[in-house]
Amino acid sequence: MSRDEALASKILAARPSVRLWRTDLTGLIAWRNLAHDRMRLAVTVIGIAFATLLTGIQLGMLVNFTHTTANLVDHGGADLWIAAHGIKTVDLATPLEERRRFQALATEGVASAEPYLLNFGIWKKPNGVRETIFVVGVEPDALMGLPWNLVDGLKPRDALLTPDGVIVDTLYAKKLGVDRIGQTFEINDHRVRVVGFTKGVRTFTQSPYVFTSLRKARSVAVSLRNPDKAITYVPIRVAPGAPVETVRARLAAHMPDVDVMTTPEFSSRSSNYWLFSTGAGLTIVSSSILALFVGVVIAAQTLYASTMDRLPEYATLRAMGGSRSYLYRIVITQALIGGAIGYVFGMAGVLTVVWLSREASAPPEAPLWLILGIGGVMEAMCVLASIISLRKITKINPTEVFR
Amino acid sequence: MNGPRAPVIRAVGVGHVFGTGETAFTALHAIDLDIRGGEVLLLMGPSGSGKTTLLHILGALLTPTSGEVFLREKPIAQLSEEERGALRLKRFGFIFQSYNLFPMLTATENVLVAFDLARADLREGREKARALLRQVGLGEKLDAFPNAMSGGQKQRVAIARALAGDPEILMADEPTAALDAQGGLGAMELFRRLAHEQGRAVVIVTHDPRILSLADRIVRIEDGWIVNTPEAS
Ligand SMILES: Nc1ncnc2c1ncn2[C@@H]1O[C@H](COP(=O)(O)OP(=O)(O)OP(=O)(O)O)[C@@H](O)[C@H]1O
Ligand SMILES: [Mg+2]
Repeated sequence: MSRDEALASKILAARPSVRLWRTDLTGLIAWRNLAHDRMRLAVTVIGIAFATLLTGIQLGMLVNFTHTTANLVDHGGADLWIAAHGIKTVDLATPLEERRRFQALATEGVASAEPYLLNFGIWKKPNGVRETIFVVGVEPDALMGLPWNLVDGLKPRDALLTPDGVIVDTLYAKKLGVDRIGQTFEINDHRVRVVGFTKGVRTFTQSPYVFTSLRKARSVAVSLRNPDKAITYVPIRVAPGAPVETVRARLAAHMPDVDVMTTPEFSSRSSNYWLFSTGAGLTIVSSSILALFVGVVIAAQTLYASTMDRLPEYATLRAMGGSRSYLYRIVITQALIGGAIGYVFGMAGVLTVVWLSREASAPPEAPLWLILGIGGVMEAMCVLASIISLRKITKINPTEVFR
Repeated sequence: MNGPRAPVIRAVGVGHVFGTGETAFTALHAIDLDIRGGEVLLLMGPSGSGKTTLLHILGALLTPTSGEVFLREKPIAQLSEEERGALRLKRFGFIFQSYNLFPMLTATENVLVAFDLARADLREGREKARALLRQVGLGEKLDAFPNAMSGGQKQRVAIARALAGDPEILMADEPTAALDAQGGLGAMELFRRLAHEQGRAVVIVTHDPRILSLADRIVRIEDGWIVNTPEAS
């Protein structure tokens, strides 16, 4: 067989087989590149881990904020809320005329409309120390606005029927000096008695919510002008089958000088106020972006240095006839592996912090979408970080390397 | 015409000009050169004479600015970058002065990369890589890393890697410059075997007078011109 025939049969034999996926050595090379330079790997991992940790905790706080800022609205069980015109957030309640409730009840499609009073109060412990609280007052047989997650003491209705009865949250029990059912305190110099505990009714402002009957809430509301008729909201439930949006429009048309919101609207208005009007959200989001950016820069630096180290070898592969995409795969895989290791460490840190602070009043939360989302963002950032290295590879000219 | 003594590569009037306008520099003038299988050809000449440039053009790494290069009678000078890459992968083996082995891959893995570039089956490739390393005399160092090898051993890994695609043409730029006398002679012995026993064309750019006597043919270049092409004894 002549050399040519041998060549022909060789080329035929080497025809690429029809396989969609072929595992190649790019992953091995990428991994060995990382493992070869431990110091650089450590820097990459620390960079990405910190970026993950900071972003995870901050966004976890943000998630918690959006939950706590609108806790009363989200758990109120209402379809619609009437509030004073221009209400900024549920905690900054301003008085509403009581007739609004009757107007609402007279509107077609409204099944129930209840009085709801939210007001500041001063809680006095036996030792004389005072704490600012939110007093939440609803009727004992209310359908909406009741305390939730009760863990100890009377049921909501019985609690609110008890003269002077209040329900506090275990998270704030210490702050309020409460250690058992039956203890008595003062709100605005009016005697109250703890008859029940909730667990996890968090407040964004750190002033705890204290639930009581509308009557008691009114009697302690000394700062209001007309306390025995005072309300701040009217939570509304629409009749079965009535479209919420239609009822909302109808109520708004009847009462143009108040705000009528669906629960999601009131909820997001409440959290947006704290997050955006106060700059808290912007601070969190921008520092998360900064953390991401720092992580990307570190990853990009180390990857670039590593790529520069390997440039003669990469140029050799190009000279041998290897494709650019082969080299791209090495670099991108290297970025992804480095990113993944950093992410695992960082996320382990985030979950540890979340777990350790689970009893705190404003713990970061780590829902699955956030955990996965940060992983995706981190990997995307690592690919982004490989761009300068990829550019370098694109420009490799073997004839210049081997002169 | 395509018998073993027919030229594998034929350069006809190959010239190369670097740069344009004022800075233009003619590195090669009109080079005519045949390269045949089964022989070791040395490209010699003073520094800056154009040896490396010619090797790059013959090896489909660089496109000449004039003239044509035929590989088995097929013109290759004007092929696109991808086409030249595919050609190099199948037909050429390169050995560079700095061996450019991946330091974090073993000898076998370094050779296996060449099979991988050609999208060969990796399990078979690994066996073939080991066979090639044994063939170049590195049977003892199959799983050694480059930093545990001498210069000569590293070069043998590079040669084994260059042989992965079973190339017709092997090209080496200053392969003996970094080796001691014994290493240099050993490498030349290997190149001679690859040419004489396996019929490959071996083209070596060198300054090294120690290896002159081991060449089949010597081509001298000065200022971009071929000076004479005596057949070695
Ligand atoms: N990219 C380039 N741009 C401009 N001039 C170049 C370029 N590459 C090479 N040259 C010039 O072309 C000439 C030939 O270079 P080449 O590298 O082929 O020489 P050589 O014979 O291999 O030299 P040496 O023995 O030193 O390696 C030299 O004068 C060099 O300066
Ligand atoms: Mg040279």
